[in-house]
Amino acid sequence: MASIDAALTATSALPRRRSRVSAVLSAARKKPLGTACLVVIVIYWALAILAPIVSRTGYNEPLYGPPFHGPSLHYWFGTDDSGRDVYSRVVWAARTDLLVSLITAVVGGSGSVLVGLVSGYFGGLVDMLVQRVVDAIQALPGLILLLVVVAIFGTNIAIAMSVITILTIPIGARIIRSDVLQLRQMQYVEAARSVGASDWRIMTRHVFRGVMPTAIVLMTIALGANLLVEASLAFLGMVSSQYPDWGLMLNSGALGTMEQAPWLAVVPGLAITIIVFAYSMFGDALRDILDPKLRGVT
Amino acid sequence: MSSPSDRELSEAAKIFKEQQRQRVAKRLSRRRVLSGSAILAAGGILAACGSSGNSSKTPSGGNSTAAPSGSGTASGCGSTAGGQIPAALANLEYVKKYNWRNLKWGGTPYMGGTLQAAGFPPPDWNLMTTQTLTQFPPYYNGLYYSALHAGLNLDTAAIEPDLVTKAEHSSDYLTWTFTLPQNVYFHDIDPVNGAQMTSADVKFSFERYIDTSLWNLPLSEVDHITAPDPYTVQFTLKAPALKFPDVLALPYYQIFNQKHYENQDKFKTQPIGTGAFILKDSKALQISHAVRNPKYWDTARWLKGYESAKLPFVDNYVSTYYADIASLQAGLRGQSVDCADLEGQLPSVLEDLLKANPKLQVTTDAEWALTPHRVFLNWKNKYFSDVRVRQALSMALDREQIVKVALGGAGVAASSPVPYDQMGLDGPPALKDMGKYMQYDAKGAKDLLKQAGYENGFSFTAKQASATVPSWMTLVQKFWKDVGVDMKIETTPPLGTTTALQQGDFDAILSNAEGSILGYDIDQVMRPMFGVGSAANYAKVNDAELNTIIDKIHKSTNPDEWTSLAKQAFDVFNKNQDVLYIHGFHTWYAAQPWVHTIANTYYTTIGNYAAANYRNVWVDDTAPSGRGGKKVSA
Repeated sequence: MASIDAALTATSALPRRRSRVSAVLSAARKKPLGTACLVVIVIYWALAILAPIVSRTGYNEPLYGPPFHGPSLHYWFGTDDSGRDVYSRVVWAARTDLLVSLITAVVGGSGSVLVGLVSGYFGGLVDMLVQRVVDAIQALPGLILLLVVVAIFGTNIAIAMSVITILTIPIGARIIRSDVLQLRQMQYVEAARSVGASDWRIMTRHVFRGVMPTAIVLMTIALGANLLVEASLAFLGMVSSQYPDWGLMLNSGALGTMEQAPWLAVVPGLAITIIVFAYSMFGDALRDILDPKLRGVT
Repeated sequence: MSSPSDRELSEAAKIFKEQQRQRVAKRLSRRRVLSGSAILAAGGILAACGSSGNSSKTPSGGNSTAAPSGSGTASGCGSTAGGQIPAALANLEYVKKYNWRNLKWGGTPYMGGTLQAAGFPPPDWNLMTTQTLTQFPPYYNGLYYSALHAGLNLDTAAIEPDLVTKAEHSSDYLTWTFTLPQNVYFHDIDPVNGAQMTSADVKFSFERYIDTSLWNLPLSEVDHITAPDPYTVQFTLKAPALKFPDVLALPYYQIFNQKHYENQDKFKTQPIGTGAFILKDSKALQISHAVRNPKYWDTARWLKGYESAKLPFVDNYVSTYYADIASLQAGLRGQSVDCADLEGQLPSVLEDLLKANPKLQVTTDAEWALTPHRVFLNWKNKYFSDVRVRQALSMALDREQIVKVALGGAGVAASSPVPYDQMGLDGPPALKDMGKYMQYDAKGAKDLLKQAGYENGFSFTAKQASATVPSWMTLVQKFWKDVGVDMKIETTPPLGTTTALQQGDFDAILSNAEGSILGYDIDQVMRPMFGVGSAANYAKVNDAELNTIIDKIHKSTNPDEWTSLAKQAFDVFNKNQDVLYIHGFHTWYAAQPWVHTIANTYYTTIGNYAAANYRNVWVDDTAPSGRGGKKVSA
C-alpha cells in the first residue's frame, strides 16, 4: 500500500502535460513576430472571404468616383483610371491571389511530400530516376518556363497555376527526401519493418508523420513564394482573369501612372509585400516551433 | 445687316465648294503607323490613294506637272504660322490650347549641336522586314515625304516631293512619271561609296518593296516600273490612282542602292541612303547615334532668308529608347530628352511636365479616325451579324463620358475610319451630328435588343492584348452591362489579338491598334477592312450598302465625288455600325524650348510618320551642356 501511495505521490510530482491552448499561447509568446504575421494572414483571408461585405463596390465598377482621385476619407485608397474604388479592388483581388497561392502551395506541397517519400524511402534506382527528373525541372529557370508555357497555351489562370504547382514540387521534394533518408534509419521504423509492416504502412504511419512538420513549413513558405510568382506573371500580363489581381493592378499603376497616381502602384504593391512577408515570417516561426532541433531557439 | 441675296449665297456656296475641293485634293497619306503586324495582314490597296500636296497643281485630267520640292503649299506663315484655328478644332479644349500655331516657327536657325530625341533604335536596319520604319527616314530619302517646317499651314499641309523635281500623270491616272534631281549621292560607305542616286536606284528599290518587303501591300496595284533615263522613273499602274504620290510618301519606301541590297549583312546593319544623317552606332532598343551627312544635297528652301542653308541643321542626332512613360518623363524633366512623341498619354501627364517646365513645347491634335479605339464584332457570330444588336451596342455607349474619363477629355467620339478632312470638314464632326445610333440612349438600346430577340441580353468574350485592361474597355464593358450585355474580357499575349483577328478566331476584339491599315485615305483603309473577301476584313463585314460606296471610291478620280462618297461612307457607318468605333484619342508631342521646327499636327509627327523632318530641326544655344548650335547668318 505504501508503495502505491509513494508511486502516486511521485506521479503527481511530475510536470503536467500542457494543454494545446497553453502550448499555442506559449508558442505565441516565444514567437511574437510569427504571431503578428499569423494575425495579418488571418486578416487577409477574412477580407478575401468577406469581400462582398467589406468592399464598397463590386470588383469592376467604373465611375464610382472621378478618375485618379487620390486617397481620401471617402476613397480610402483612391480611385483608378476608370474611377473604380482601389480599396474595393484590392480587397477583391485578395481572393484571386490568396486562392491561387493556397491551391498551388497545397497541391504542390502534397506532390513534394509524395515524391520525396517515394524517392527517399525506396532509394536505389527509384531514387536515382526521381532525383534526375527533379534535377531536370529545377534546372529550368522557373519564370522563363512560365512565360513560355503561358505564351504557348494562353493566359488562362488555370494554366499558370498548373505550372506554378509543378515548379513547387521539386523544391519541397528534395527537402522531404532528405528527411525521409534520416527517418528510414530510425529504430522505430526498423522495428516496424522487423514485425512485418508493409512499405505502404511504414511510409504512411511512421515516415509520413515524421516529415509532416517539414511539409507544413514548406507549404507555408510556398504560399508566399507562389503568390509572388503569380503576381509577377500578372504584372507581366501573363495571367488573364475576370477578377482583379494585385500584380495586374501594380502593372497599370507602376507602368502607366506612377507619377500621376502613385497610390495605384503603392497600394497593391504593399498588399503583396505584406502578405508575402507575413507568410515567410510565419513559416519561419512554424519551423522553429515544429522542428525539435530548433525548439527553444528564438 | 441685310440678308444675303441669292446671288451672294450662290457665290458663297461656289467658294465653299472650291475650298472643299482643294482641301480634299491636298490631303496626304495617313501619317500614323499603327500595328505593324496587323498591317502585314492588311489588304493593301493602292488605287486612288491621295493626291500630293501639290496635287492642286496637278488638276485631274490631262498631263500635269507637280511643283518642285519646297515650292510649297505654304500659307505664308513665316515666323509664326497658320492664322485662325478652324472652328471645329477650336471647340476642342486641348487642341486649341496646345495647337501647333502657338509655337514659334521659322526665325533665325542655328547650325550644329546635338539633338537628343526619344526614339526606337530597331533590332536591325533591314528595310524589307523591319516593323519600325519610322526610324529610317533620317538616313534615307523617299520620293515624297510628310512635311513639317515653317511656311506650311499644318492643318492642310500635305506631303512634299523629296527626291522628285517634277511629277506628271496621264489623264487616266494610270501612268505617273517622276523626274529626279541630279545632285543626290549616297553616303560614302562601302559598298556604295558615295555613288550618285539615279532612276535605276528608284526602280530597284521599289521593285524590292513590291516583291520582298513586308510593306508591299500599298504597292500591289503597281504593274511595272521603268527608268527611261537616269533621272526619270515611270510607274504604270493596274488601276487609276488619283493620289499615288501619297503612297510614295509612306515612310516605308526609302531609296537604296542595289549594291547595298546585295550585301545583305550591310543592308541589315548599316543604313546607306541619301539622307541627311549617317548612322554611326546603334544598339537595338537602346540608343543610336548619327552624324550630319556632309554631302547632303538639300537646303532649307522653305526658310525665308536662309534658303541656301545646308541641311541638316544639327551635327548629331541621338535617338534613345525609353521603355516606359515614367523614365521618359524623367528624361524630359531632366533635360536629357529634347523631344518625344507621347502618343496615348493623358493630358495630365503633359500638364505635370509643364508644371516642371512651363516652357516645354507641347502640341496635340484631334486624330479623329487615325487613332481609333474600337471593337471588332465578328459578323460570323449570330449576335453581331444582326444590325440591331450592333446599333444597340453603339447606343448603349456614352461616348462623351468615355472620352472624358478614359482619355481625360483629350479625344473625340468617332464612328468610322473616314477622316474628317476627306469629308470636306475642318475638324471632327460633333457627336450630335453622327446620327441616332451614335447617341447615348440606354433605353433605345434595350428596345433594339428586345427587337432582336435578346431582351435578357447575352454574354460573349472579347479579347484584348495589353497586360492590363485599359480604361476605355472597362467603361465599354460597364455600359454594355447596363443594358444586359455581359462582355468578358480575355487578355491575350501581346500579338494574341492580331493572330486572332487574322484567323477570325474571336467573338470580339477590343482594339487599340490591331487591324489598322496602312495609309490614310478611305480607299486605302476601307477596301481592305470592309471589302467582302478581303483578307484584312477581320470582322467579316458584309455590308452591301457600304460595299457599293467603297467600289465607287475606288474608281473615283474626281475630288468632288470623292468628298461626297466619303460623307456617304460616314453616314452608312453611323447607321450600320459595321465595326464599333468608340473614339479617337489626341496624340501629343513634347519638345524642349531650345528645339525648333517640331510639333504634333493632324498630319505630321516627327517621332512617327514624319521622321524625315529631323533634318529641318535646329537646336538653339540655350540647350544645356553646350549642346546647342551656332546662329546662322542670313
